[in-house]
Amino acid sequence: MDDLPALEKDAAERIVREVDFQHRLIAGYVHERAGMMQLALYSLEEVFALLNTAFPQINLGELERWIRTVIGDTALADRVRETVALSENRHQSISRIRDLVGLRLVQCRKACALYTAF
Amino acid sequence: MNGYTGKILRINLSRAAISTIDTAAYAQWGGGHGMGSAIFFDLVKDKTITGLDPSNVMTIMTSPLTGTLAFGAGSRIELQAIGLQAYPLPWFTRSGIGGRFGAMLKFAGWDGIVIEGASDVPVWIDIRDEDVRIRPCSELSLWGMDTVQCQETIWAFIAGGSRYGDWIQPLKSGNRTTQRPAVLAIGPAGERLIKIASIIHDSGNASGQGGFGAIWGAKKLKAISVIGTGDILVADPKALFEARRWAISQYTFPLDSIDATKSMWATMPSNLRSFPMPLVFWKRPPDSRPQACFGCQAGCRCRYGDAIGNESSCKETGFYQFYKLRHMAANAVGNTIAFLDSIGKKSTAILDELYERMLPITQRRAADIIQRSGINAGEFEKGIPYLRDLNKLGVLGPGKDIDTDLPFDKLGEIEFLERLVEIILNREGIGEDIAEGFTRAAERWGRLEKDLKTGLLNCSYWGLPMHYDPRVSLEWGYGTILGDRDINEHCFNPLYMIPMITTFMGSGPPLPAEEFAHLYTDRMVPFQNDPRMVDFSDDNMYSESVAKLVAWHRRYSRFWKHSALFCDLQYPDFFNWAAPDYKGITGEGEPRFFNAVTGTAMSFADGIELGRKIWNLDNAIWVLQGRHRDMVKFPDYIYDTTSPWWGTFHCPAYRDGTWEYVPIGTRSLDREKFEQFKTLYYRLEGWDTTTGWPTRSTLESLGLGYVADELERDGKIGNPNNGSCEL
Ligand code: SF4
Repeated sequence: MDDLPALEKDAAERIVREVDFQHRLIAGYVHERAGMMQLALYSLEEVFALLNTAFPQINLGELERWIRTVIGDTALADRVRETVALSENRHQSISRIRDLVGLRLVQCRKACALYTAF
Repeated sequence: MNGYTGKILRINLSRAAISTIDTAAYAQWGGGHGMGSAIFFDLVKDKTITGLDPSNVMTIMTSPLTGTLAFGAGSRIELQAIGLQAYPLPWFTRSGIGGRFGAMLKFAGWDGIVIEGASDVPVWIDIRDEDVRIRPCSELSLWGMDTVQCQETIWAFIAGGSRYGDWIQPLKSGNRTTQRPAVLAIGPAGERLIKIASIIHDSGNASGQGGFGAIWGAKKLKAISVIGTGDILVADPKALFEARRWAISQYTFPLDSIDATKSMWATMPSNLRSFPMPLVFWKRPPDSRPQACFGCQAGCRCRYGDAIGNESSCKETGFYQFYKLRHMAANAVGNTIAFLDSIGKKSTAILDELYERMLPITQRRAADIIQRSGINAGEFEKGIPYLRDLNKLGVLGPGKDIDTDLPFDKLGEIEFLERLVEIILNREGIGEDIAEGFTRAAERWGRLEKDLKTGLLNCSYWGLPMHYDPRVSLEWGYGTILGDRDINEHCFNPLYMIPMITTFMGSGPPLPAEEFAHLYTDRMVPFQNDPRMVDFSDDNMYSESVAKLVAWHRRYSRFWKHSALFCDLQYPDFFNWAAPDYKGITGEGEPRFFNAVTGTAMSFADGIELGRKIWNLDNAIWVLQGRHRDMVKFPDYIYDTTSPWWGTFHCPAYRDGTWEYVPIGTRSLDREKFEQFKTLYYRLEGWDTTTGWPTRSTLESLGLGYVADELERDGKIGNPNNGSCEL
């Protein structure tokens, strides 16, 4: 996890930015009573939030593509692909990708000195 | 008439007249919804009136079990009227509320309330046992109050300054009680005829669907308060108590030895809830405790030390998801930092601030805002993401086509929600549009067709917010589009949720697919020999078996759930983790409780058949309102786009002679095949397959000849020759 390459401020700002409508990522989550919540995700932080819900509904191949082509983080996209290939089940994939994305956000926030934004 | 008090309160607000209806005249319907539909049918001569018409009648009915210790069935009331929310036609519809109103109404000696007409001035109804008064709101300045202020003012008026638990005497010459009045109230949304307005009881019990709050607003009815000091005659109290003990010992986890690996499932809907476990989407602070409806052992709500978010559960606690998302992202990043810290990486100084933010006070405040205003959480749950998407699309915002000053930079914070509620209540700017509900707002904005084509507006049936996706949860989607509202019945959820969750976790479902299917279908009388009713695979989506599933589900719900008023969170209980063989209480439990209270000998199958009669009556009312099979269609996106459930939605499926679990999360419906399905379904119900209208012979076989007469007068009786089709 900690071999994601460090980031310069410019790259970090690009990775944490909110994307526009055309580049949103459709995903969702499920709760056994409240039902199915479909969502448009507009930032990597929102992806991370979704991956922290109990039963995230997200196309992991599409997530990899989105991170690569929309967010522009090739290193993270490569690690997402690798993680999916190496995981034994979906729960494992989701947990590992969540940690990867979380780590990336921490790196970005450090690079941008954005901690106070919480 | 054991279980009943024997009389129904009838109030005509136009004439300020109070009278009674003999319950016995409607007892054949078994309580709740059946009685409400039958009374509505008799009293509303012109079924084509709008919801706001003074002639619209609202029924508020209990069941024989209300106010008793029947397991999970002691608390609920059923409200019915022509609604305001569904699109394009607001159907005759229903909504249920738990809490303590129903029990208190029975203790006061009433099986239900029928509200007719409309008052000239704002009023509230004060029921103290037999004594019923229509009082002007002006004497307590109730009109204009939020739902909590209104209830507190009424409590103080009736109970004085005494503390909860002190004895009070509601009537000077009457009995005493330690209880306080149970009040149903509308907030500013209902008063201002907002079509997504709800009726609230205590803090978090809401009649959300149908826009019933605005129906009361149109009748100038602010609140109904009831306090009762009587009791309910139970046919066999010993049998009732033994049934309750039996249910607890056989179907719930013992509190002192809860099996953690299984007990999480005991909180799944339509599964007897084993122990108090609040169903809230926020992290509960330490100074909180579960709270339950009258007589319920489960307690799916919660009260807090600071009273914020009290008793809200489910959607109200989750609708403000953007806050949740952002909040969770912040938490999760914080947790990652903590993880880095734990493995020796450098920590930061921000953790305290992050953990402070883990107390999701904003979500609890958000729940209170809509409960106090009296607005339906379900509309906001899907409506707020729609507003955000339109804002991101560049068509909604300051100076945009859809001009609004909503502060999107504050989305997730209370400021955004408060402003949204404010513009709706004041009908200010786009608030005037949203006051009609999000579907009608989209229509006013000229976006309805295109946004239902893409699914940007996620309203999947009758213009109502998607709850479960019709492309995946067939019984939910089909049941809703063949009915009047988001059914909100979780009867078959475990069928796909348990395989989904266990597959996601990697362990796999607890039973082979065939056994799992049989666990459900073996009790689904009268169709019990067809396990493919629960085969949700692509090949079986439009089959006669699925038509039977939908028919059974409508019948079960209409009687056992909406009339006998067994709580949706606990019934039907097909699959039960606490039972040694996983076989839940359903089939045996419902009639056992019903008969112990009423002294009748109703079988489970009798209840299903009575549910069929009630469903037929409801369908006849919709037909009189203007329904035709051509209207029974999902919006385009349900047919033209694929469902986005890439998780592990699995269900039992029969393929090439064997049963297995298959994924079903990403698919669409086929228009033509769904039309064929409707034909199968109408034929199964004995309705005209070209119109969906009931035939005289079907209605007469159910003792509904008088309903057939009215349909015939309107030229809407089904043609018996249209019972077959080319498939
Ligand atoms: S499970 Fe919840 S909603 Fe149902 S009766 Fe119990 S407390 Fe009320």
